[in-house]
Amino acid sequence: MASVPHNTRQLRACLVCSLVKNTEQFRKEGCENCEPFLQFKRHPERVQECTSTNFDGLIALMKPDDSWVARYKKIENYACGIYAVGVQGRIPELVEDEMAQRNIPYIPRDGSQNLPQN
Amino acid sequence: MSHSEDNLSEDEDRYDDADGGWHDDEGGDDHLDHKGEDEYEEDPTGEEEEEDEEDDDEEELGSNKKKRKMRKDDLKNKFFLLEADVDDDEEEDEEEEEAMLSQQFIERDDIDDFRTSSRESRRVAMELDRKALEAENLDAEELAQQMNVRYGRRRGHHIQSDSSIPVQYIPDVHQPNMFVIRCKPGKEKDVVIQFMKQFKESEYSQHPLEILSVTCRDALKGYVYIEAWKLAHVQKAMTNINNLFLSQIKLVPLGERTHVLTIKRKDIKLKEGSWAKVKKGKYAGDLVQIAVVYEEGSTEVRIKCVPRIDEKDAKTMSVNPAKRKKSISTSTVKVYDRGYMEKDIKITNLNIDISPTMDEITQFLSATDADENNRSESSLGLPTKVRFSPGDEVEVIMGTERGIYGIVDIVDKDRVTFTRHKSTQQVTFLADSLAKRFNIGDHVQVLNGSHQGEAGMVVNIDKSKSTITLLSDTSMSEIKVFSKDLKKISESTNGRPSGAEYELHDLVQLISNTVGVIVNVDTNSYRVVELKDGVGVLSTYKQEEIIGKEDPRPSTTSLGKNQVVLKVGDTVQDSRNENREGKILYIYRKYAFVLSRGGFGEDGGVFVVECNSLMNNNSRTAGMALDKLNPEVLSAVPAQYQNPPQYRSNYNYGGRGRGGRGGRGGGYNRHRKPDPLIGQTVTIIKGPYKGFIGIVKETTVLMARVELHTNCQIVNVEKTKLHTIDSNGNSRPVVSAPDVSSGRNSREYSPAPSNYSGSSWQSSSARTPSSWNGSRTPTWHNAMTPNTNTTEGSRTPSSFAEGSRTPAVHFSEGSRTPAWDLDSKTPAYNGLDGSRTPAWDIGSKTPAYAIDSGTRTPTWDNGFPSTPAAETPSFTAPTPAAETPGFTAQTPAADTPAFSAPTPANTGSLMIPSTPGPGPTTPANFLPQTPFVPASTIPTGGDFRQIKHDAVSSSKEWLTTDIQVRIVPDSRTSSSHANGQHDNRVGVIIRLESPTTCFVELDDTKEHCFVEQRYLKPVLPQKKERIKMIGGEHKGQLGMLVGVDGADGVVKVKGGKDFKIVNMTMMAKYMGEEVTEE
Repeated sequence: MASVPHNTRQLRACLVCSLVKNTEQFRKEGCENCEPFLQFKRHPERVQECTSTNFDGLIALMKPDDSWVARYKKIENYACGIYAVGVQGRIPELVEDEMAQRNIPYIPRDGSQNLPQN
Repeated sequence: MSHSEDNLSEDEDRYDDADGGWHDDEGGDDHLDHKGEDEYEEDPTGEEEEEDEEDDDEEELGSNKKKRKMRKDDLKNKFFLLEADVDDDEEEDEEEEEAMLSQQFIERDDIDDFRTSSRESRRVAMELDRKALEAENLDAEELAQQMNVRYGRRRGHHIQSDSSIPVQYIPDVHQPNMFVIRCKPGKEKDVVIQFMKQFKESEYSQHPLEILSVTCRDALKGYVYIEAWKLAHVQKAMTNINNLFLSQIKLVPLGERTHVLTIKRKDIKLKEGSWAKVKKGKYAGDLVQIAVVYEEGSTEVRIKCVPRIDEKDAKTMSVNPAKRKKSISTSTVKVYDRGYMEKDIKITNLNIDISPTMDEITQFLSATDADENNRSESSLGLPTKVRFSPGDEVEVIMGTERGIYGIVDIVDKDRVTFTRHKSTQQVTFLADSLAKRFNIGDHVQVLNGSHQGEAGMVVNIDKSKSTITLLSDTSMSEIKVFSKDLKKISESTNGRPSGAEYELHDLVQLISNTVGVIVNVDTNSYRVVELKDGVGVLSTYKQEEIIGKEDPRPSTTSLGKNQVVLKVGDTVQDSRNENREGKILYIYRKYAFVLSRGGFGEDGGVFVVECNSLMNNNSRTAGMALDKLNPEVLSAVPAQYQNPPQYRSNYNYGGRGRGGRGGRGGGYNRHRKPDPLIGQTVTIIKGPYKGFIGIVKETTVLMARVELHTNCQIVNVEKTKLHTIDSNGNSRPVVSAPDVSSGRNSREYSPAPSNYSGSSWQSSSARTPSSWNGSRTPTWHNAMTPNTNTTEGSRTPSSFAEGSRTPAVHFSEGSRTPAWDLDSKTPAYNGLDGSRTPAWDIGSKTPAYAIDSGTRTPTWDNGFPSTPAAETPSFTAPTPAAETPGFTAQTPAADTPAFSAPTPANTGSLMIPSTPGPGPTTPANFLPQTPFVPASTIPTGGDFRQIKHDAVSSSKEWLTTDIQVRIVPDSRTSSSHANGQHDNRVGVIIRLESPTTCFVELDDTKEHCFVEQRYLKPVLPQKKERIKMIGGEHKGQLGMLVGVDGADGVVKVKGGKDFKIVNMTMMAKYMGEEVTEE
């Protein structure tokens, strides 16, 4: 269960998993799904790089396993929480490389890879 | 399947070749995506969609072990087995591939297995999932493994989806439902977050939220999408959420679900040198040029803009040099290039989709002191987006096909298809490589920019930069514009430049008191063929010199040569000059403005001819003989002059028959328009269609055909039963009640229409029966100014004629507002109103009446004893003495209802507009009254009674013979006549002993009693009963009560044809022998 944004201000969406939280939350708690490799807690400056304020829509994901929405948005394996429908932008290449090294595929959330893939 | 394998290997490459290969693969990946998407769209109802969700899950999981699958199949019913058989081939392949990749499935496979086995086990699975997620205190290795699981599994999907339609993404009936709910626009995000919070709170409670997800989109304002298995879950979840409109839950159709979640990447392709506008910030709205486009994926570009001098900076600079230094050091990277500032800006902050005009660009270019030669030419290079539309003539300006031109057929975003010149070959080009094609000498008009609307001739074309120089028609100066901002026009200006008030071929009234037809429109000036002494003269007028557009009357006809009828639009020939022929544009008096066929001359092809020399081309032969018969007829009087009087007289005839519309007649005489009523919205106020609203379609003298709004039925209704509804919602009788007198009082009359809702009660209605309460007005008028009685008298017949409808009118308004009734009760009113109209009683039938009368009754009782004297004040009211309280109280009361009625909202303020009214009518009388008016216009029951009592005290004698009375105990002294033995007995007064005593013959015993007035009460007459007036100015008169309206009765007075409205307290049931009604 990812923490829920306190309010609708200063919301940022993770560029990797599209989780939406307040900037502060990202900095303090990290991204519940991507923390192992994004490590926001250790590198707060990454929050700026790997999250974006430019996102569209919100999804309150309550039951990822059952939800078709989650499947469609490819977030069915993530924690419950608020997600964006789409996030503009990509993570920096460095981070992308890091993910690749860990065998973690990166799905851009900017709509460039719409259905059906992954 | 080979396709799938390719993908697989590609994918593997991608994952294996972890360092650096990402971007290279990107393209291939995209390609696949699109392919898949196409497939998906083409066959959204594919067979897979029908599969059960368990099956979906299965695929989703990647059934890596056939054994396992078989085992499951055993558990399930036949259906799934069959289904599985159907696409076995495909799956087997897949499975093999998957098998390689899905080695990593370890712990979660079990969970998944559970999940897929049955729907019930879902919950178990969830539980396990949650536990897994809760295990946050895993060490790094475990975490890594978890990640592997999380993302590794995804790979399995990937492979699957490449080869077939990704079943798991297709919403089908076995998936959870999606419901759409309205919410307060702007609160979507809050709602979603609220739901999440709610879910979090309720997660471990007894009743956790059972919905699966909640979605909102920025683009879908006011909607929230909830995914759930059951509607009940949604409803339950919604109970604690604010800003939701609970009543509106709808199921989202399967096909639309994906739309909710699909986002389109804004594919912004920027080119260096193209133009954009800054959306926000300091440079908001400024035109900028893209200087550098960074590598793909970058969110920023470098722009070139005209630097703005920051006043703040300038100030600080001058004030504090230290700060200045600081500001420079902190400022972001700003590079100045030949006076332009270059800076990085986010693409999202740019508006790319613009089409700057030449002025803007030149302004941009000239804004700096860049070298004259260096600029413009070089930087104009990449101009702007051109929007082509079918019909444009375009030319290819780039590439090998350069020079091809043709007419545009289809425009599809960036692709333009045009037919090549002199061939049928259709070619498609990107819009970027095309430009509008013009030839030197073309007459063009500028569409955008500061020269907008100007027309001119093309004198130079610079194809490489798609700029065109044209010589303006008006200023005779050269203008340089982009070809995209030009439009080809025909020789005579068809267009209408913006700002020009008149259009080509408008018939206008000129300052020289002539009329003319515009033949050419330039910026602010017009070439006009004006009619001067019977000839058309071409002259130029400025816009200010044109008084206005003459109303073209297409129906105008005239007689031409041979007495043929000429209409606007006819093709005619000038009999004196065979060469001139054309179409009639306008007929003005006996002249016709003719637009010659295709003739473009100085005068734009418009010439003026006397009608009688025109031959109608269509009927030339037929009319020949007639020509000789009576040539004088034609030349003498153009037909149009004969017609109007005819029409007018007709009209007025009808009008008078109805009671006269004479007062307004003048309005119609000028224009021979059809009845202005046609097309108006009216409400029917009487008859079977009472209350219906409709539009008048046709009219005759007396009748109107009204198309009802309700059922589009057209019904015939007498005009008298119609009310028009104006834009304010006020209604007014269609046929008002003007008459001879209104003609006389034309000065007062004229304001009447406008006064109608406001102050008409005093100024106009008083004098002019034409307004709403015609029938009442005269009497009122009488009362006000006794010396006008004579005029009233003469007016009466006409107003009577009106009577039948006017009161109805009045009623329809009056009955709506209690205020009206209240007021109308005042004695003053009764006293004044000798005559009432029969229609009045129609009003009295309404429920409104009943209610009112109910409340009235006590009033009546109290007030009844009023004697004729009670009315006296009211009668004399208009005289200077009228300022007695009695008067002031009454008069306005009597009037106000009428006008306040239609709009109750007015009641409060209605007196304000009316105040000036009295001035003009009878200044002496009214002015002093005015202050009282407001007070008495808002009378309450109490007020009213107060007034009444005053009246009563001064008017005690009402006894008269032959009226039915009831013996009652005296209310004041509580004493009874003859010790009460006759109480409540009814009798008829047979003889008066004194003004306050009389002999009453009791009805039942025929006994004669001597009774004092104070023990008597007149018996209230019923409808259709004969009455005798016992008070008021008509005291002693006989009549018949036609109807009752509130406290008023409508009385037909014996011997008169008039109807009068009299307070019920002023009449008693007449029992005498005299015949009151024929």
